[in-house]
Amino acid sequence: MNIDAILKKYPRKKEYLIEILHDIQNQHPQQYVSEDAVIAVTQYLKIKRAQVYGVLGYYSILSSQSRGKYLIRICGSPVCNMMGSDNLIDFISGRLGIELGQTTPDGLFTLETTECLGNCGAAPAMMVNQDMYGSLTPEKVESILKKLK
Amino acid sequence: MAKVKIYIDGKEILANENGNLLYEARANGIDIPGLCYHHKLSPTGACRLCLVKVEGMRGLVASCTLTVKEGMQVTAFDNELEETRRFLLDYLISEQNLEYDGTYNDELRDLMFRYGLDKSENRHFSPLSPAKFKIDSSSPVLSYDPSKCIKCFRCIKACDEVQGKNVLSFNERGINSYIVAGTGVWGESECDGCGECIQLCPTGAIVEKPNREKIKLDKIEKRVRTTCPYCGVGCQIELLVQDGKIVRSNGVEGVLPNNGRLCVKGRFGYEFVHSPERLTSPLIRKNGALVEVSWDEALDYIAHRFLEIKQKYGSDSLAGYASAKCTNEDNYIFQKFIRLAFGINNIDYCARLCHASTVTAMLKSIGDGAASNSIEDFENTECLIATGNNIIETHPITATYVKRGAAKGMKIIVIDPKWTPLVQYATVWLQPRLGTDVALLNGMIREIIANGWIDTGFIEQRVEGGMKAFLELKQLVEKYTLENTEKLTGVPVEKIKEAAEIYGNAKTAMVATGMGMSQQVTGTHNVFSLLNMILIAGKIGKERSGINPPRGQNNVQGATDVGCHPALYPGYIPVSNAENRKHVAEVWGVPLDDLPDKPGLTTVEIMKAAYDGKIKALYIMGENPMISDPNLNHTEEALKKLEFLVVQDIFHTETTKFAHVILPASSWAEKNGTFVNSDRRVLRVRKAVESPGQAREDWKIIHEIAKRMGVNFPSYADESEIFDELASVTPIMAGISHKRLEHHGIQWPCPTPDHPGTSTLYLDKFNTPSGKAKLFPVEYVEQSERATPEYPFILNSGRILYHYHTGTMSRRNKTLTGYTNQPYLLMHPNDAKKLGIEDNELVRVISARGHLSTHIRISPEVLEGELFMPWHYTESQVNRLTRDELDPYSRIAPFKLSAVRVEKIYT
Repeated sequence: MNIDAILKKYPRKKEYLIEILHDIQNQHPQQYVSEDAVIAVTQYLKIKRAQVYGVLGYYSILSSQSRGKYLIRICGSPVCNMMGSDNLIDFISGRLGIELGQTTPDGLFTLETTECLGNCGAAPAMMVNQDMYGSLTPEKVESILKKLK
Repeated sequence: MAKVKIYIDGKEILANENGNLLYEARANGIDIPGLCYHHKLSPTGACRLCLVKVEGMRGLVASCTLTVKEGMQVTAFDNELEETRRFLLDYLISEQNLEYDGTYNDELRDLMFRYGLDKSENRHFSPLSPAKFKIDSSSPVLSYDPSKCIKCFRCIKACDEVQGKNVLSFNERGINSYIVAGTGVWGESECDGCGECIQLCPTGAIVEKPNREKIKLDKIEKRVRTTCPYCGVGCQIELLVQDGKIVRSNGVEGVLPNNGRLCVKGRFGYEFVHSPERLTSPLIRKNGALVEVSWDEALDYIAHRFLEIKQKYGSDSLAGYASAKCTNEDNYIFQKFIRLAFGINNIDYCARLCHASTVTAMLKSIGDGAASNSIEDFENTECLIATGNNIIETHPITATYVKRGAAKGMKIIVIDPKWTPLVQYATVWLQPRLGTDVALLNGMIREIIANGWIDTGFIEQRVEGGMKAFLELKQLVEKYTLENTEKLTGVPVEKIKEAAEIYGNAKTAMVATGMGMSQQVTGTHNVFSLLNMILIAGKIGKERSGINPPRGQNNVQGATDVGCHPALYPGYIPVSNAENRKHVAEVWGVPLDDLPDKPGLTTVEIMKAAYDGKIKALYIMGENPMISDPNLNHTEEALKKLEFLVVQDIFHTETTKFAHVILPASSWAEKNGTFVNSDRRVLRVRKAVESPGQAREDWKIIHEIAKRMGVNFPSYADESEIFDELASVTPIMAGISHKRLEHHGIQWPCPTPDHPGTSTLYLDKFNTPSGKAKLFPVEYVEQSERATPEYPFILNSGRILYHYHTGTMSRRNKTLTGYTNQPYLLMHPNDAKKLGIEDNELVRVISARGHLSTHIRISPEVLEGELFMPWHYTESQVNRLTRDELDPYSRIAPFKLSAVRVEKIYT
């Protein structure tokens, strides 16, 4: 990933910070914004590191930690919660051997929750990278994980 | 300021027009609670505790977000408001870690007691289990505990709006949110440790580390307001004293020049006062060894030796170095001593080595050698040129005004061969090669003239010779075309054009000129050409426009003001002025003949005369020439040749090694008096603690020596009496007394006791004999010192934020050395590559005068072929390399330009 090439696409205005961070994260195989990238952004936009780091910390979709190739986001909204999203989290935790927010040692999976995915009609729901899955059961999740492995 | 009438709870209040409602209410004794508001910050409206009812507005509104209006009817206290506040506070407290260790002011805790919420029966919300917060103690000066943070934004805004640094932000959301610096580790962030956030934190979430274990606020014996001892900004600080020692330093809110702001040195640099290395007893060198002696023995011996040498070799053989660190009172007594007891004008000090050329040029051209404007103007001017002035590091609080101005759209032009932090705020950065300033300024002048950006009216009315003088300048700069200037300086044509256009078109413009301009063989000419540009553009003689040389030391301005100058009496009156000498002789009670009318020797000249055996005895008060003088190998030889050297200081220094007698003096925290800061503001210095051992105030020591030499000074009861005498012979301070300085400083000239002081100079006329300013057209002359095959690099030297001058004070503070404590040499990456030198590699730096070894720091902050070193460090003394070739007009030495070579050290 070439940070300079990404930065050059945007005007040097701090209004573009969020777009820049999305772009950097999307192009990184580990789906995150590294400290080196943070520093490059500060130099490009002439802002201080905390201004970038604070934005990374505020938006759950952005991360300053290295993540897996597959980012599993379980919907944490009330509807999915009522339909058993906690069970799904427990199930995936057990299958992958990681807690919420962690990444498997092989770098394949990261488990996170997310705000409402707008898929309440098919609760409980989750996203894996850009793909949406609904009406989930542990069995269904098991087969999705198998396919990804 | 215009006033408006408002009514709070039926009480009529005269409030400042456009004032903040909460501020005005509190200023009138109505104590509306609130946590997120601070008068230095924009209103946040986050804590909601300052809710009030305002007639005509719906619901409860946060008073901190309202501007007062004529006739406003406000309810600040009723049952509903108080219950709402109690409810909100209760809620806030439920998220809060309530531990309190008595080391900081806790406004939340105070409110908790005020609303009875310390009693659990009054609480409605049970404590929430706190999030998993980690305390960040990685900074050398502070630690942050998120569990005590109420997310009020005060620290973030303190850093951004007050100090212009903006290194803090929130991380995470809601109850999990907390403050971060950098990428989560405070000690690795851009935070430079000024501690503004500590001072403004209402809950002790951000606390300072030094003395944390020791300090108890209820055991503080006294709080003493005084003036910071470091640079020339003159920040007002409050020292907290416990068990006879300084345990904290806070900025004093609401007074100029700093309005509560401090830098890392002002807030944390007091530790040296209580260093065990302080000198505590007079020492006489006997058979080569220093021996502790009584004051009587030391003073008698000094008086005897001075008299003996005076009799044997004459007055010409004696000289004194005054001190930019001592008070006006100390320095006034010192110059009086040299003039009366030595009978000679051989008195000078380190001002000769910093702004002598600036002062020389300014005196000749506009009549005063001091800043023409006030510190606030740095925020409100349209344009600032900072030339040879690393203002963020060397005058950090003046720089806060600059950065605040930048946030409001001020255009900043940085002229500096080396990158400085101000470049980050600059509209344009001109990076001329070292020593080409005159060429660059002449090029800018030509561009300003060519585009008609001159002020003809100003030139005609306020410049001697009017348009005729202007035409001479115009003719001289004709050959400095843009292309030619680029060739001479290395600054691209486009940038010269841009800078000239910004400056030429600004309605108001300030110039800050620093050591980069003054410390050259062409120092006086540099400042002449700067003044030429200012004058033809008419950018002086009005508010927010002028020339300002920020002064390096706390009292470098004052020491010259009170006559520590070989050619000037107090108040800048030439020694040759017979009428003034007559007046001074009367005040001092001596025959007129006792006052020599011949100017004495300057700093470097004194050292050269010592080398030549003409000066036999030298009295040094609070100076360390063995680091600060140019060409130290020569200085060392000169000091060794002296028959008698007295050094009066607070520590052993590189200079005391050569002293025959060493006298222990009081530090700034142990004495009363005054300093004068960079904008001519006379400020009080007050005693906070006792001197260690037998150390004494400087003026008292001098007074005793004078007495023993048979020169009787009046017996001053205290420093205010010295000031009164000083004021009577210093016309610019004639109206000032200690009493008048009780609450705030006064800017000279202040000729009478009812004069308010002068914030801007030259509004009506310049201080020259004709009342008009003078142009001094000057040609660019190539430097005599230049890169050669033997010495292919040009070395520049300067200061850094965390250390101060010869390091005698700053390097005895763990908080400052915790940031940085190592000398280094900046080298451009391409040069390092050519020489095969790695970052941090140990190298030898050699000039025709001497050599040193230091570590390399590879950085594009310098141009190829140029180098930079900070000069604070005794282990790598830059001045072993510099020259003592002097500027012919001001006798300043060229610290900024030495040809050197760099060699790898093979170990």
